[in-house]
Amino acid sequence: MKNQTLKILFGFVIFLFSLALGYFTANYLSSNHYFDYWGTIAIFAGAYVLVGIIVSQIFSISLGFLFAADILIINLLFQYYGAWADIFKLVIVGAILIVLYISAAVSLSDRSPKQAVPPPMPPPAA
Amino acid sequence: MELLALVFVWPLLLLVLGIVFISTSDVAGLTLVVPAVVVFLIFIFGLTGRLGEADASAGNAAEDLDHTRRSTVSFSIALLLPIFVKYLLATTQNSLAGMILGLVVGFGVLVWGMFLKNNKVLSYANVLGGIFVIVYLYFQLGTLGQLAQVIAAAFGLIVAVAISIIKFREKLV
Repeated sequence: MKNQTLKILFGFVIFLFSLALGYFTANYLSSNHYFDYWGTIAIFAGAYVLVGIIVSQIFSISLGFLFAADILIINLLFQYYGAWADIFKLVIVGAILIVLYISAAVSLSDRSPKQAVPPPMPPPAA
Repeated sequence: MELLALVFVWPLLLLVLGIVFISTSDVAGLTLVVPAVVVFLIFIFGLTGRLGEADASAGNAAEDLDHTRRSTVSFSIALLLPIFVKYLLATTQNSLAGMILGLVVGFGVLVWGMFLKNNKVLSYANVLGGIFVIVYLYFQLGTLGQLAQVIAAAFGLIVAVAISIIKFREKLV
């Protein structure tokens, strides 16, 4: 199996297991009244983001944790977003718009055909 | 630094996309999420080669990923602009000042998108987002007081006429 495929496979496995760990721990802690369910999810999301940043040299681990953190954060937002004050939502959406505008202006300007991304080269025949 | 950017770009895009759909459902209920998904699919599959990619016809995975990244950013900006203005109006309690500010944002990004060169991602996002903002604000005019309605409608009309004069004037040669 190709190394690239294995990386994706392991990244996916890390993503699945980190998600499972987050949700199962939150379930366990809340059902035994040790800790709040959504609080646990938030802590796991933060921890996964940190781990994802720390191990950014290893793509599969980093992406697995970061995508898992994404899912946890989106779930948290889905739960609480409607209850937030409008001014807070305004600030969040405004901040995201600024980030998107900057990234689009800096890295997504039009490219000429010369700048096309080359297709991956096949390995040389032995 | 480049490595970090490479690692974070897709998780961040997924997070932004999640926030776009959550905000959409917060603003207009789940009924508007389905059209939003349709618009997103149109961006992904219908705008191939129109968002400033180098060679859309090449059809390799790297070009496809580049197009998906461009589509996602463009779609997110286009949809977040009216949501931003909606929250702006809600924060100012549907006041005339909020409406005028919203119209300035709407017409501003629309004009910016029309005149922008060398960045089709921003061009498409601004034009579409500006149109969404203006259409949304037009239907919100009814929530204002009578005099405020007149002022806001006059402001919108004047700006639209001014833009038309500047941008679409035929030159008599």
